[in-house]
Amino acid sequence: MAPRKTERQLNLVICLLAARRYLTREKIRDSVEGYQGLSDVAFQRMFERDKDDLRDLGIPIETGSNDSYFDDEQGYRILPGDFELPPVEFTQGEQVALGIAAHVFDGAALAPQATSALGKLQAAGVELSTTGFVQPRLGGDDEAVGVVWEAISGRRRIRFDYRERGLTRVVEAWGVLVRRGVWYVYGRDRDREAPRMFRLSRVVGVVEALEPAQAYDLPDRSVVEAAAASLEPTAVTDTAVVAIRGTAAPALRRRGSVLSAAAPEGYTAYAVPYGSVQEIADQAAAAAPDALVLAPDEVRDATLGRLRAVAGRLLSTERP
Amino acid sequence: MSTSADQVARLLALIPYLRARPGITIAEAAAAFSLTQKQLMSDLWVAFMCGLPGGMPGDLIEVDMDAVEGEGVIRLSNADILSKPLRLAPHEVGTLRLALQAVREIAGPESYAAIDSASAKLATMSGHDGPVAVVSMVTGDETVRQALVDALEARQRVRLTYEGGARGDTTEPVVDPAAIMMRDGYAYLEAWSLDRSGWRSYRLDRIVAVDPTGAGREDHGTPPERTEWLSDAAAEVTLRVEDPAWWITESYPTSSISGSLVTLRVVDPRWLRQLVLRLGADAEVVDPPAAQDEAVLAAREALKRYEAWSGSGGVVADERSV
Repeated sequence: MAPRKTERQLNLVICLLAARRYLTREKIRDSVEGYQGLSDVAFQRMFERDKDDLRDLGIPIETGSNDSYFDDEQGYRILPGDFELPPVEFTQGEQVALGIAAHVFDGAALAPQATSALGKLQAAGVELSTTGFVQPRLGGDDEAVGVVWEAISGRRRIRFDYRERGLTRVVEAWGVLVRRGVWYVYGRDRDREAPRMFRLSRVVGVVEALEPAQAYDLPDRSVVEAAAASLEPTAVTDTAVVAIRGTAAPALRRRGSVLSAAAPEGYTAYAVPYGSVQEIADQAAAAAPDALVLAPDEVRDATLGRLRAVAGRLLSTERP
Repeated sequence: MSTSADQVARLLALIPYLRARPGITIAEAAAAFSLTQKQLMSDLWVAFMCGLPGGMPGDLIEVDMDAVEGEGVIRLSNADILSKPLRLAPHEVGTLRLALQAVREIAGPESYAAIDSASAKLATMSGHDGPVAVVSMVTGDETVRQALVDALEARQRVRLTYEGGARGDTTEPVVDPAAIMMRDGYAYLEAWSLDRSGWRSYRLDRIVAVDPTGAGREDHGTPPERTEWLSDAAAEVTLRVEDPAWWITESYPTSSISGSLVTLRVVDPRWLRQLVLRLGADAEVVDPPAAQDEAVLAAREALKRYEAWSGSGGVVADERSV
């Protein structure tokens, strides 16, 4: 039955687009293929549903009457100026950028939206071209990504179960952050009455978009950007002294500079700037024993903590 | 959204698209809308049945189905009412602008202006702002990216200065670049290594320099999908993971997760050693037990060296850079 419904809805769009005046339900019922031969109740129900479906697609169906002096029956029409994509023109360079962008969501949750948007642009005469040399991807194959995205657009609250302590959260989502392939949603947690960030991959089960639409206001873009900045490594504030053996730990060596300071035999001392103790301790521990933190105590202790936890485990040969 | 609504939305773009391109091939049109040819055919049959009220032959959209089935080309006419597509929805604009942000992260600086102006034009196309999205990826130095894009476009062979992965030494491989790809938020150069006579992936943030060799690249076919390499070479290692280390499930390929037990696919044992060392008490290998041995030995040796150093009274006396 799907093709029939598609035909009927498409015919309804064409009928309302072609209308010079508001069309009454009766007129629509007579004109549009697919509404004939139905009972009054069945027609009303079907027409309501079609109207809702089309409005969900963003089709601006207007309601009004042709004569405001008389209490005319309400009618419907679509104003071409509201419906049609205004003329667009993209330069060659912009079309290349769009051509590469076209594949960013291949196989991901936002693929249908990208395809639909690009279909419209191509219908308006845009030609997408791509060399295939550069293939950016953002990940996000979770269905939750698509739900959250549309919920923010319609400003519908979202509800989901979160892995942390297994709580159900209701959130007014403000924006999405994609950092190194990890998707976050940022917004106001209704229960805590405070902004919170959630990793979409820690959502258990589905994300539900709640009615009504337009339930809250979006803050300025800068609020989301500030939250994104908080995920980035903190600015450099201190310098650690790390002894590095040979060509190990290139990330630390590159950031640092060689010191003339004393170091264990076979090692060279480097001054390495850092912003976060945890981050530099992660790197120093990962490169052990080719990297040893000599100072400050805070970084050395954080590194030693990681090493002691691992050193205390039994080797496979030591197990009973 | 129901399939039917999807199809209506698609037809509202497909009809003006085809109307403006008489004689386009089925293959080309299907590719433009990411459809199979069968799906496109079903769309065409719907268009064929639609048109202005009245239902008389002159009212209906005309599709030359003989040409479609015979020559594989589409001629659609009598659809003046649908000469323009439906406006973009705010979330569609938001989706494309997000995709452009991803393009910008991986592009060379010479492309920034075009990417930014495309995004600005899109922003004017929907009534209100789409969702806000902020993207952050690890794509290395922009001059390195530009040099690689230039080499790709000119089909040139280059010498990389590469501060390699797990081993941590600096190498200077001569490569024929094939593409720049993203995996899990990191950009990689896929290239044919002349030294190794094989395909290699180089993380862009570890490429320090790109130098032309003056030679053109040879054709080595297409690089293999990275996921295939993983499944071929990877060993499965299961860790017990505490909450602070849970991020690894999002950053690395996992083959299963059950409660706090996470099974990772590990290609390089040195990578696993580094991971275990950095996670400390927050994660422990449970299976196979021997997979953790290297990390345990490394941690024990490091602790000995730390003790020897403090035993020798080693202090940092002088922080002058040389």
